[in-house]
Amino acid sequence: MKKFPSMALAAFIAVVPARLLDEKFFLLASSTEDCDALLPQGELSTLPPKGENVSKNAMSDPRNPIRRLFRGERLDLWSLKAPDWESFDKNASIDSLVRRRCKKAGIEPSPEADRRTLIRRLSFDLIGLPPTMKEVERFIGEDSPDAYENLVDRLLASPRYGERQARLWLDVVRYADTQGYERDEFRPLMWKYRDYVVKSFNRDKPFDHFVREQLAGDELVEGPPKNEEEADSLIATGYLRLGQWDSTASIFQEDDRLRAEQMADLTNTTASAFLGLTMSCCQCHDHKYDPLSQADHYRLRAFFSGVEAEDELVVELPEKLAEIRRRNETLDKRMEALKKKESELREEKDEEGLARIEKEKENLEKKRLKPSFATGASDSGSSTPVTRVFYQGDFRAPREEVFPGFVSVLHPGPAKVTQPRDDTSGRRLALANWIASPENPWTARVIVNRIWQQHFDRGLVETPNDFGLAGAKPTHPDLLDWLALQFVRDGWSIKELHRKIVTSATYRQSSSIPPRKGGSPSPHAHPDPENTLLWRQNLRRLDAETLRDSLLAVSGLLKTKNAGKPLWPEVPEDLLKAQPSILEALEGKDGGRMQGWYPDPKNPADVRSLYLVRKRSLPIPFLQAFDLPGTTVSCGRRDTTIVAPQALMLLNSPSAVRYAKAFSKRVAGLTDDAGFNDAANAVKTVKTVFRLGLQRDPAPDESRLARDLLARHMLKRREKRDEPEARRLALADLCRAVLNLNEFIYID
Amino acid sequence: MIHLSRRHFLNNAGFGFAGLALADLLKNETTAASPGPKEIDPLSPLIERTPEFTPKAERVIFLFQYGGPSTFDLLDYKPALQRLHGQPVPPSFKEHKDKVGGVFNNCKDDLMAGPWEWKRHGASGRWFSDLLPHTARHADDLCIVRSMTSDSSNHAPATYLMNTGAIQSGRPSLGSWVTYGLGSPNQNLPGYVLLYQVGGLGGSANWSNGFLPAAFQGTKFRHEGSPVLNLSPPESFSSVQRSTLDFTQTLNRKHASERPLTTDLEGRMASYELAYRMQSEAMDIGELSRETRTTREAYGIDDKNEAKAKFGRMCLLSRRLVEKGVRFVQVYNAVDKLGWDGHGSSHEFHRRNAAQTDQATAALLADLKQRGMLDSTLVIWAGEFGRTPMRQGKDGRNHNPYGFNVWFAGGGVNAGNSIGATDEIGLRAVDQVQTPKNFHATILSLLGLNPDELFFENHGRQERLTGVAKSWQVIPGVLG
Repeated sequence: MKKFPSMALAAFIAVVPARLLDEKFFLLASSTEDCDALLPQGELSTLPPKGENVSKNAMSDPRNPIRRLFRGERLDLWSLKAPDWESFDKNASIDSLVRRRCKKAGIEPSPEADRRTLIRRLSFDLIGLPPTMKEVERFIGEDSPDAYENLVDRLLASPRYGERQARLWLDVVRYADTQGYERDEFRPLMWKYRDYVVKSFNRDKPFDHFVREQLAGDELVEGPPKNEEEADSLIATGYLRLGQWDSTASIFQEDDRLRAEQMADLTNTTASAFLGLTMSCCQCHDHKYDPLSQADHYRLRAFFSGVEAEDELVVELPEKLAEIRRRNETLDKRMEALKKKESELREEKDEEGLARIEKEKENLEKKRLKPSFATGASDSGSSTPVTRVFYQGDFRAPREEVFPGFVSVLHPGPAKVTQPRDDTSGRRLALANWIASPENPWTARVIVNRIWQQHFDRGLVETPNDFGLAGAKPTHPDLLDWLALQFVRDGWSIKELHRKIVTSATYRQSSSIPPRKGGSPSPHAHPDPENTLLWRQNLRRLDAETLRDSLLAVSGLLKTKNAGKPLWPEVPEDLLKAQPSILEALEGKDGGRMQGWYPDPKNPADVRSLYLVRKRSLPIPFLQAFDLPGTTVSCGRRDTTIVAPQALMLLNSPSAVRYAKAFSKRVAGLTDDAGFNDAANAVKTVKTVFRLGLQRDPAPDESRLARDLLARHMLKRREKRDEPEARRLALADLCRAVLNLNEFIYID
Repeated sequence: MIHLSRRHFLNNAGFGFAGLALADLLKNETTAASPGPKEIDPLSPLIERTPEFTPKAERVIFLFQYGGPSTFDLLDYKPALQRLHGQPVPPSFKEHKDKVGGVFNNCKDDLMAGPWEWKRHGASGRWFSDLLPHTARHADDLCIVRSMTSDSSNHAPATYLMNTGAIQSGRPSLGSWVTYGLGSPNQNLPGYVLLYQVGGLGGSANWSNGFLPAAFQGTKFRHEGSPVLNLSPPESFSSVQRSTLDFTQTLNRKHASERPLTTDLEGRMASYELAYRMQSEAMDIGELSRETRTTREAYGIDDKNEAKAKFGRMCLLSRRLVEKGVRFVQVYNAVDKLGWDGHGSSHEFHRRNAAQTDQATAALLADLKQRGMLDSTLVIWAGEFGRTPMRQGKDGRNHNPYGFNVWFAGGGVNAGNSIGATDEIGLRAVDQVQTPKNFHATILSLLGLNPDELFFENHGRQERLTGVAKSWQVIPGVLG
């Protein structure tokens, strides 16, 4: 077998699928060798001439082997072509781009929603919590023409904003606090990554930097962090550790399988999360739809081959670190002295004294300070493990070696990797820089689409993790491009993007259906019943966490928590038994590996759901009922199914009943002590329930029905209970009924 | 052909693990889908669907044997192993043992036979050890696959593989695929029910609906107390449940009437009605006391051995569930965290687990038969892998994914037939080697489903339980 020491050549070959690989082109090349050392002959002259900028012209260059491979057709994929300012006039805006389409279809956009609807919608969308009645009334009463903009600013500045955004991002990166598989151990420091994400959104970290930190934060920082920013960059590498990990694989000599799974997982998640590409589809063969070859999967994988797990990544800042060192050095000295004493006592055979010393040593050791650690990653440096194509995706069938390379249809050559320093390969940094580059046609569009989806329930591309040919086509390609371009121009600012979207008239539309001009209001006759053209807002269901958070907020139970270790809510014992390794832990037989479930009975976990533990083998039942996504692969869009167990959960579960009771207590506390013993009091009680629960006053018929319920239920309860108890329960019934309303769980 | 894209489904935002459109609720009956290509109605995802072929089995009870039972200690007689007990692995096998390495490296080199007595049973003259005296009486009802293999020698991945077709978690489970493909006869109950005292390693991912709609996820039924979690409110609320619900529904109707074009709102209202009706139906099923004394005793539900009684209750409950029209019931055998997993003391583990499960397993077969349901009910007995004939520790056995037995009964299988074989000492499958894909393809085929046509579009891929099209084979000789 002849060796061509050309890395460009090797990369070119690597994009050719195995079936086209002739043995004579089977190349082994070192990535440090000169690209142009040997010019290929014959078949290999498809290489672009020396010095040509491959990335700019690769798409149209007929010599690009991937063009021949896919016969050109797949190259029409819309997302391959970068958005271009030239196609927009200066006055383009969200509204102009949306309404142009509506007008063409002869559809009138909807009027602006009323203020209560707007503030509820905005609050749920930006901070994931309902507004209080006070906030609603303040907004309704505000005369200023900037009332809405001010509200947007207030919400974007709220610390709760970062929590909401973080939840959405954690879906995309399949965040969990445990390892998965058999033991599913708790990862004691993973939450630092979650806090990093919250903080990044709250501080509006430019998204391109957010990308770089997660993929290569360790390569950006040399040595221990010198400031908070550097510490954050290191914590961000937690991204590289979020996948599942089978800690028992090595017991059964399955390390190779595990390594292959982990590498595939990291590759696929990165492609989905940042690029909207389904790289998982070309692990075993060329992509069935998109212009991605099998080698593309492995070229991307090669960027990660140097990742090394760090469970004690030092993220302490220099002053504190120095202080810790000083303290520990003092301890060392005292320890030294003790040890000296110990040997003296040993010679004297003073057993009592020895025992005393032993105790002192123990106490001293307890005082030793540890720096702050994080779960993250480092790099193997120059000795990066080799990446090979796996025949049919099987790790037991390794074939050609491949080198890091970006999506070859755009960049057929190998990636230019510069090693920043000895201890790190620079591979991930090269990848991060490419992903975060404004020229990358996917990154900005993908994140812009995710944010849009958050505000309309449906992205401009309905498949947020698939911008390929099997995914949905953008409903408004021009709007998507315009937003992406604006986003980059605004310094990749997520907050600015939110502001643009939520201040548009398109966002502020009512979700109800306006009567059509001169026609019947019949919805079935509407030319766009699916609202593809965005002539109204979409009605949507709260997601699992927002629902639970709202229940806590309304019932007055919600406790603020801004960061830190996750909390473990109580779960039924039956469910703990779903996983034998939890039982092992409950019996104290898990060797301190934290395989169990650790609620604190004295301290109910009434914090936002973001801060609850995410255990892979036991999702929190209340959340799971409402379509909590899995933690195996990236989730770009949650399901919203409507199933009977949800009704059972929200009506009957101990949590739901507890929320209803707390809610009723809150109402009772705000109304007359006597409750609803006369008509006026009953009106007031019902009003309070509606105002707290739904942020509006009840309509007269609703109020009548509610008072009727209170009266009837109290009578019924009186059969067995005293009056105050009957009264309390009747009020809890009403609260329970309101928390189960469609109006509670759907946002207009 | 049954297929539906995720996108399509979500656009129509369906509901109900026994979801029903309002119209269906009023009619309170199910409608059989017409033959030919069909799609899932998101408003009634569990409506019965006609399979492509005439099904041999209409419902499934899967008795999952978690921990990895040593099948040559139970029903795969290996005279050579008995003969070679205490001797080193013969050279021809040693070569294989060393080549495989991995899990085999953790075993001693000497072979270990079980201290069991073996006898032939039934007209088929099949061998059973004295660990399974009750199952042995059904020797002629079983169709045994003696050459099953797995891709992982580790519990969680292998359990995922047997249940979901992949060694990583996150894919839809067999029960989800079956209810997706066929719906379920009873719209007031979940189509896929799960019974466990202790689940399998890897937890709930073993009965996940994965990327399939939530209507197809496994619902846990309890064999003691209220059969479904949250089925009814705390006692102080139960007398006003209907009246509370009426208030909610009245306001919901008003809310929905102001919001046309949003089927979700009606769907959610219907899901509350369904939940309400489920209460009574599920409660009824949980009433094991309604069974005759003979039946209760046959299953051993009041046995002094508590673990055995619990497994008995689960088996009896599974019969009651399928009787009421639940499509797929999965029972996990284990009553503790270990199941059959006897590393240090295989014999003790097998004695214990066999004693816990044998009687009720046999009672289930007999009961179904007596009720004329065995012919249309597929009963499956399978673990995630088998165990080594080599000794581990004192008298333990290590995992062995290279050859083990599983069996099928009822549901139109070729009763009395045996397929394939492991070698003389049970180290690995050598004749008609079978894979979990084949195992799944066989089950789907028995239900009248074509494994290649049962797919779901997800991220642009046609996802199947059996993976890439045509990469499976129905295990020859199982279908009667």
